[in-house]
Amino acid sequence: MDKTEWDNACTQVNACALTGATAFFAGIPDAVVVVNGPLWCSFYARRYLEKQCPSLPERFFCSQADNEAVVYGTEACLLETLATVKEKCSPSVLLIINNCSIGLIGDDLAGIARQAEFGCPVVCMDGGGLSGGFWEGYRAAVQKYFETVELQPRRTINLGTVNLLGLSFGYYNAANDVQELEGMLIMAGYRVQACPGLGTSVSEMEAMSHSELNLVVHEELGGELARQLKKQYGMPYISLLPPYGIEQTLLWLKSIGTQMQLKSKDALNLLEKEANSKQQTIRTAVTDMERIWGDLWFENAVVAAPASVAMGMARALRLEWADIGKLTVVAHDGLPSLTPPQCVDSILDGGADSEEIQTRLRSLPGGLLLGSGSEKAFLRQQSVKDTVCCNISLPVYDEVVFTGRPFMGLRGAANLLERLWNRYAAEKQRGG
Amino acid sequence: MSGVWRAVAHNEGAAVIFHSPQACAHVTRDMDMGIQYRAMGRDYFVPGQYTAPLVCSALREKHSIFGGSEQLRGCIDHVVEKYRPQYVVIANSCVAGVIGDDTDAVAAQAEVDWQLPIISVPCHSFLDGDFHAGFYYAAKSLAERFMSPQPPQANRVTFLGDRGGPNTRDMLEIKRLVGFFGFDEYCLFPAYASIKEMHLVPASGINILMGGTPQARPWAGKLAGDLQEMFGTPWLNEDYPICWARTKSWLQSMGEILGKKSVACTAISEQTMELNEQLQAVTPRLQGKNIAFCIGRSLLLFDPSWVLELIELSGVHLSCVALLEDSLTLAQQAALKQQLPHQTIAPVIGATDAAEILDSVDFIVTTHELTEPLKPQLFLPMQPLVGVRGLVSLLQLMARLAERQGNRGGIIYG
Repeated sequence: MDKTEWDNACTQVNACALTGATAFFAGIPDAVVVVNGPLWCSFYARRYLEKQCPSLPERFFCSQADNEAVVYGTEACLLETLATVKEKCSPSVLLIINNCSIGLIGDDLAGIARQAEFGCPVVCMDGGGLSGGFWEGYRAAVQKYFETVELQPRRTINLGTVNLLGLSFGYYNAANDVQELEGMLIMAGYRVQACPGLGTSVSEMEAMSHSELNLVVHEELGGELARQLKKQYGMPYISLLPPYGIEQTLLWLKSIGTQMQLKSKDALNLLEKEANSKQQTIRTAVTDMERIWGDLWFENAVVAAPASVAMGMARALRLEWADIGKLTVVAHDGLPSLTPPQCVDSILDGGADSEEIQTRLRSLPGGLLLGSGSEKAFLRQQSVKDTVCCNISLPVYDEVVFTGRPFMGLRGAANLLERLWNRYAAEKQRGG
Repeated sequence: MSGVWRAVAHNEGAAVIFHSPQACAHVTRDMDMGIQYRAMGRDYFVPGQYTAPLVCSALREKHSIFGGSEQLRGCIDHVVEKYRPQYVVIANSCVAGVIGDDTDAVAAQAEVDWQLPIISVPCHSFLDGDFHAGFYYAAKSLAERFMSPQPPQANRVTFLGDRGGPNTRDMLEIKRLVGFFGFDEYCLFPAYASIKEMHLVPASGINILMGGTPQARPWAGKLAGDLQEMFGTPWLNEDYPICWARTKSWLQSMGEILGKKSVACTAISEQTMELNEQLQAVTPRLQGKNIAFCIGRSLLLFDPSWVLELIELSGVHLSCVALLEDSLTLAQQAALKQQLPHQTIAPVIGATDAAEILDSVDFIVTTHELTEPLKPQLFLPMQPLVGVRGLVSLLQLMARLAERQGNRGGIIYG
């Protein structure tokens, strides 16, 4: 037996596969999710996602299967719930997802759904914890969706169009990030056809096979889909770390440009001009802060998030924003398949290295944490003081974001550096 | 399972195993983090508190076919070797229940091999009840394992249940109330209790239930009844002392059961004076205000009578009780329509019919966050804080709402 699977859950950050699957469908306008299971499972998934996706509660239902249903089947309670769905909603696509114990009893979900006679595509799946965590659930939902809803044949290619794969409401500040990415790509002379799982409708997704290129933003969520689309439709793809930081954002755009047929030098020049202007603004303000508060220097820094976010953020941190003694990345979803950047000193598996993670977090007095509410909770429990903390991943309990500021891209770089400096100065004052 | 976790999460020396898929531990961990941040938000968080390691046996699909007993045993061995706990508590999942793993047998054998208490809690997630059921079964298991008859100590009291830990306002207030009767040594059970402290529980002069929502109360009472059967400890079979009527009644009952009626009278007099002082300070701020009371919780989960008492003491005019039809079944609405007229003269109507009234009131007290009308709202807890001080804190929140300026609506959480 693999003992790493028996790690202390108190330092792990993950969710149920049901939540991951729900996250994908939450990002499809007018999609409806029906959880076939007890209220507890559905309540958790909804609570996890509703702050990031406020429209979810209106199209999220639960059959409230009880212990009798485990013996006699869920047909009755599920049909009753589907009748309510029909009364209240006009779904563009319907997900019916079992929790783990209901998944074991083997109800014919598709057969039950057929009785309800929905006019939209219906996706049925098992999605409880037996299927894994958030990332496994998301990927399984994506696979099921694209098995059920076919794309148009790739007879024509719309040059200059891209799809963004792997974005999700299950990632912190995702809605603002996708807007920033779309805006930058438009400035670069491209157009985003689809962003499955974060705002693209069923009909828009059907046409995504005509896009010139698939861009994988988060490999752990979108990589599998990209490879599947390549196999099935011959669609080329590129998988890069997300664009955090100004220089990294320009590199990201240039990398995309190398893959596209139409190249707009003017557009790229415009973006570089924008980047330079931002750099100048930042430099002026940062120089003033350095005079008063000193450099952004941290003996130890921990960046904890899903692997793609953590690695991209760590790279920007070290190469563009601050001087770091020892930089540790904690990948919430496990060790990444993408090669980590060289500037990262060590990568820990968020699901298996709890002791080492705890040790690194305890070394953070005077240090920096870019992470989630889970790591911050640990610091408070352990009375680790004088740590500069910024939220970059879910779960988040002590912050709200409703100003439309991204983390990715040019605006995102300015936003994150601003947060970093402001928290650094605030921490200095708290200590004094 | 989260109930089992909550019962032992902060018990010194415990380790907890979820015999479940990994995700169940994440769900419980999220709940715990919410509790921690809430404690920080209310200034009763204490760092450095013991937190048990929470390890999942990590059941997967293959275990649903071949069984998960071997997986569980491996997990137990790993936890004991790595964490060296004083005891291990195993919470069973619905999956373990459906596949039929004999957790008890695995735990028993592991206990023999390790010479360490390894306790399998006899419930399987939603198959055997809810959070409160899990909490009860864990408590019962701990009582059976670690307690034995003790000579009684007249000044010792045990608080059964969990209202957020030993440092919350509720705990401080209820200690103050029992202090009237000479209690100054406390146990909390099952949560926040070391084995040494659990040994002292049977020595208590009385057991007091913490919390008493319609869902929690039966299980808490069951635990108290079990402890009485096992050790002869009396318990106060009385409604939780919320608002004024129940606080008075609670104090009276304490006096009767302890043979200290005069002490109870003194306590009630002092509390009456305190209440009157506070009402004099707060009620002028609420004078002339009209409110509505919106209910979306069924009588199985929520007792509206304390809210009606709160409203009456505040002096505001209750324009109507509006039933939130989207959150209540027809049967639940009918039950509320039958009961509420016995408790209030305000009209009890559906929220749709009450729309005009809701538009006209100054603010709303409600069990559910309302997106419209745009009125200031007091979100009602399932159960308010204890005693006169808990009542006054809600009145002060109502006064703040009444004095809120502008048209921004907004919700204050009680």
